[in-house]
Amino acid sequence: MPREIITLQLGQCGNQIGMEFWKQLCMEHGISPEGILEDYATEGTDRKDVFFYQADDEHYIPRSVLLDLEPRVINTILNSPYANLYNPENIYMSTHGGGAGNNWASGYAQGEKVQEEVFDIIDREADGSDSLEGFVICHSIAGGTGSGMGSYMVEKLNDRFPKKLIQTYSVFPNQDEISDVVVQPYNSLLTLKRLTQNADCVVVLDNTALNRIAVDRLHIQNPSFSQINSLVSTIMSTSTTTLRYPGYMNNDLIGLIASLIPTPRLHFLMTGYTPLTTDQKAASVRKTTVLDVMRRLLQPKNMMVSTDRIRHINHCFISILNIIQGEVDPTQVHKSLQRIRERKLAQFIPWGPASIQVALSRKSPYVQSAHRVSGLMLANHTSISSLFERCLKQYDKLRKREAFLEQFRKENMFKDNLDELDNSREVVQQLVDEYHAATRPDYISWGAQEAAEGRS
Amino acid sequence: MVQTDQESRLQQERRCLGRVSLQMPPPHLSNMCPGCLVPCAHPCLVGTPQGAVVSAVSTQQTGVTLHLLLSPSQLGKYISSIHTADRSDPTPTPQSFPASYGPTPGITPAQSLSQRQALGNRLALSLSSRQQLSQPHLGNGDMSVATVPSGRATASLSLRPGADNTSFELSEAALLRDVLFVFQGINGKIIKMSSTADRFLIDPKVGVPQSWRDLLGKLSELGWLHNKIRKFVDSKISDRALGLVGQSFCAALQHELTEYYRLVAVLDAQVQQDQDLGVSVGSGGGLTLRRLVVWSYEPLQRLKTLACLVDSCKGKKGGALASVVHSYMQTGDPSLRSLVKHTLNVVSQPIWEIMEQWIYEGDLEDNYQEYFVASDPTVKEDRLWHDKYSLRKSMIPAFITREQADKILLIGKTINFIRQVCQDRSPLKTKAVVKSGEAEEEGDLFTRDVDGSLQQVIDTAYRETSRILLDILHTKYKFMDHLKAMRRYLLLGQGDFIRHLMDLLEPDLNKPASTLYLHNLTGILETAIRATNAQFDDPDILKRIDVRLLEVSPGDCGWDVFSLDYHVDGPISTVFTPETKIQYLRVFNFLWRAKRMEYTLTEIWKDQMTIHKLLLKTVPELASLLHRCHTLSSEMVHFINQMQYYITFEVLECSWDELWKKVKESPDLDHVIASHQVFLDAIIQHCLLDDESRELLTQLRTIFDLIIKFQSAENTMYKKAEEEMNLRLRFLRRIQENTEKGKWGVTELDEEEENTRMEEFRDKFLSKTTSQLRVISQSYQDMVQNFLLMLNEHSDPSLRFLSFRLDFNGHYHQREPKLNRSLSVSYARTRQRSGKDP
Repeated sequence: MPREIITLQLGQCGNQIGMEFWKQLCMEHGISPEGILEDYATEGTDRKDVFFYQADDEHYIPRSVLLDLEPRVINTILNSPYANLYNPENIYMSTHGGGAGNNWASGYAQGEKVQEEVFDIIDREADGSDSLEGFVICHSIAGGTGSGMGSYMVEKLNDRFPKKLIQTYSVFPNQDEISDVVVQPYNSLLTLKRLTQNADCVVVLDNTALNRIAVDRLHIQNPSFSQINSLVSTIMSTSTTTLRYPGYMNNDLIGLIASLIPTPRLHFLMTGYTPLTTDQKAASVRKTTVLDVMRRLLQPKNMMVSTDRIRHINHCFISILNIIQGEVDPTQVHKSLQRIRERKLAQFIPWGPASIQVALSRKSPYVQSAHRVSGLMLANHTSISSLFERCLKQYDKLRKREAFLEQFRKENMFKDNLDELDNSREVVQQLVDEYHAATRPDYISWGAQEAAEGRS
Repeated sequence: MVQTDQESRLQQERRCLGRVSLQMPPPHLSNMCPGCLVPCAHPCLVGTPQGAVVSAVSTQQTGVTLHLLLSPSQLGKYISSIHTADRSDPTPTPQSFPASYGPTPGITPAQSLSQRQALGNRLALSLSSRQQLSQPHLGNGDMSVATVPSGRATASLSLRPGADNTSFELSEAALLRDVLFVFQGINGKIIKMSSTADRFLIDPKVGVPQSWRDLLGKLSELGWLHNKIRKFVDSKISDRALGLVGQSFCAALQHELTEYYRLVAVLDAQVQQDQDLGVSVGSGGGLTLRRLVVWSYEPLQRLKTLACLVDSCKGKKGGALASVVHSYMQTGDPSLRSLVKHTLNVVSQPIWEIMEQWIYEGDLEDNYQEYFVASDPTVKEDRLWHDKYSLRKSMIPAFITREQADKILLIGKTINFIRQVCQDRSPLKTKAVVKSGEAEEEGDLFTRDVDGSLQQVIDTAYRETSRILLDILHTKYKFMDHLKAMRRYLLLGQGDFIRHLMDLLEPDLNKPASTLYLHNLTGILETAIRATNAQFDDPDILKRIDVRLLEVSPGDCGWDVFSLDYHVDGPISTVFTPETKIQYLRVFNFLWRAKRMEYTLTEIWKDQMTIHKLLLKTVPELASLLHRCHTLSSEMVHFINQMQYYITFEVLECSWDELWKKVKESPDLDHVIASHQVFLDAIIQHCLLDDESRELLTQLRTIFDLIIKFQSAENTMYKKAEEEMNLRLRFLRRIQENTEKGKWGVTELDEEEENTRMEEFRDKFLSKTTSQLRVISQSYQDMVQNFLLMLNEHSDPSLRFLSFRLDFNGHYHQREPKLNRSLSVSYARTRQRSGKDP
């Protein structure tokens, strides 16, 4: 089966959202927690083979590699009903179980140490697929394993599979609460550099926004991890639905993201989802139509990324892809687009053609939903740079005080100097600059001065 | 004595006729029929000196009709109504009855009070008196007796023309006898047929008073009409080419004539009786010429109508004949209408029979081409639905509307389709369904169109047969599945399969078209099916998918000629005809090209993402150039993607939605075929494949070509840049190696060399490629703008959706002021159009 995707889940956060993701996929494809196809799902015309493969005994096994430097989360998975779903050979837990101690440098260094074993698993998975499309990495950028080891994996994957896509679902830390991880700004910055340089597409899952959505929109006072994770898994599964339910268009990952990402570095996507309900009881009274869904998707409050409004910069959409599921009358799509354009509900880049792309996708027949129509937006918006600016700002604060750098200096990379940090800052700053440039019409000739600099 | 006389007559008659209904009163025959050599073959009439001898083919039915014809009460009822022959009659009846000449010439004002009852009672009276007198063996009050009133009851009528008859050369009785001959079309003694005047003329030498001459002239019209009808019947009865309807018509005429003969026989008997009893003419209850005029009035009208029918029906046959007869239904005279109706019933009988066979069994037993459904035996099964059966418009009877005829055609066609094409021989239960829905069995066939039950029968049969056919198509032949398969494979709906097929085919298709081998491609197709979700499809569908190579024209590469094909056979091919197949292939070709662009662009994108990262590390001065590549390719991606979205939503999905709805609601196969055609036409039109959009399509193709050109330009650039990169890397490596060996990293000479090369790379290659890219970029933008302009000027408003999508954020508008103008123009134009045609 062509165009397979291998999922890597790293660290505590990565494994948690990964587990939710697989739970969701199993539900949608009618696969039991043991990996057996349910009786009611045998007639399906869905494409399970993108994310699963069939073992000799008809078990469906996720193309998933579970990596962690401490055993806690993976053990939870192994004690859950889904324990038998995964290929046990695909689980790698660090033997000493010490974890990365929320230290990027430690995670990175340990990643380097265990890379051979890990790449044995990955190579085996890659060989097991007909024509691998790419990798999906689930991790958080703030912790130790997800960010540090994740960074290392991204770099290495890019080296070893230069022609394969790397898409990440990266969880950004919550800015509204004080984190117990003091070196979070360092971790984030260092990871961001790798995501900028080595990933092809980063789906940003901003914990700040996710929490806000849980509180404001879902009216959950103290959202738990699992509630947040169910939001994340919804996004992840929906964003892959066109791959799993093939139609006329958007049947592969590359087709999906090629239209969203015009230039290599502007590959940070935000997501929005509507209607938002964690459980079924909140079936709303309103009737959801395509226009409703598309309009709501453009509202910032439904975005899963919290961005600051910056006055002096005219932030705009670079591209939008709406994946709409449910009973949709295709004729409504055009009308909705017309309405959105007339009302100027979306501001687009001034330097090239851009528009809202709409993909209609089938919904899993096995998962009941209270809503007739639901939609996911994958958007490339320049305001995502404010997230990186926030990172930079926090990093600068810490860096000015030279705070908490001792742990980093323990690792090889930072033994002699902190150039890596400076370099990362530069890369992220360039990214922010490029996003800002993309709001201006002269972006089309952007990089000319860089070339000029290179020549001089 | 009288009684025995009667009985012996009856026996004679039985012997003569072989078959006589007991219900029928015996005609007053005075002699055995010498003319009836073949019993019952046809009625015959033989003149004898005493009068006319009538022997009739008698059936129960004729007895009833006789009752209709001459039952005294009816006669009395209608005798006073004045009417002329059918006004729509195209042929004027010769010797027409003057309207002013009343049919009741002798009725005095005194009796005109409540004429009808008076006359009716009178006739009844006379009848009963005559029965007592001459037919005591018959049941009392048998009203069906055909008779003429005896003179007693009419004595009060002052019908006698003159006081005495001595001044006349011929007695009225003699004239009466003559007239009776004339009634049968036989020349009498003094009244003879004149071939020159085409009428019966009274010998002018014989002294007959003028008033009688007038009466005789009037009466002789009957003879003329009789002859006309007789001649027609005799000439046609043996004509085999006449057809069933024509024969029925003759039979109906013959039947009428028989009834007419019966009347003549009765009249003759009356005359005979009068003579036998010695009743002097006019002295009492005897028959007089005037009375004869009265009594012959009704038959005259009938014969006149029949004669008109004969005139109009000459040379006609089948449904056309029935139509003519039907046109005579438009008369206000109920008795004539019932006559015509009866004739029509007989005439249309064969049509109904054929029709019944047709709508219940699908058999077309129409040896004389009389039915309005024609079948072409040369048509093969694959075209059965489309070409085999047609309407013979001239043969549609007037009482069947065009819609009904169409439906009838469809019903039988459907049955034949089920039998021959679908190979389904299971018995149809249409008849039972129709019958159960119908209150009365058979009944008067003709009245069907009047009370709407014909419509009901047709509708029920239509629904039933169509339902059966659609059921067979849906269940046995899986029509819907094939339709879906068409969409999935020929309209590229099965995205993962198409994608994988492209992956596998790409190396082959990049070669020139002439080097392609079908069997290689078929193998690849198999692989693609097996590797993707297509494998879950019905094997029957999968084996129909095939590769087809279009005609190769010079310079074509594999992409241009490759096509998928879907084999259809059996009943399904009636919907997916070779013509629609060609349309499908055209659409496929268009979609395939668009898809290829999408494919190419993702390749370009992927190369950019991977190669640029590498290149920029060592050759940073490429940044600007590569950025240009990115923006240009993203513009292209946008264009192609929007194009694809337009095709998906505005064209395929919407049309498909409509088709699906329509097919599900379709009452019959014709509707299915029509909605499928509408679906294809819509796609053809919206995919710029119709004639009107030819220029647009050409423009689009040039854009596609440019994208290919861009790809190859980019690849050349990559090659060169990679070369440069490798050189630089080698240089760096050498420095490193040298440094490790403890030497100087680089000699001045080397550095000089390296710098010159880099300089050259920058100045020559970079500037050249940049300008080349600028040209491509510029011409691409010009093309797109041109394309948008053309879209805006296109007459099909749905194509503006495309233009709207392609320029969603107004990017091209800002660059090209002309676009603004033409948009507003086209907007005004649509407003105008919609204003005109709300």
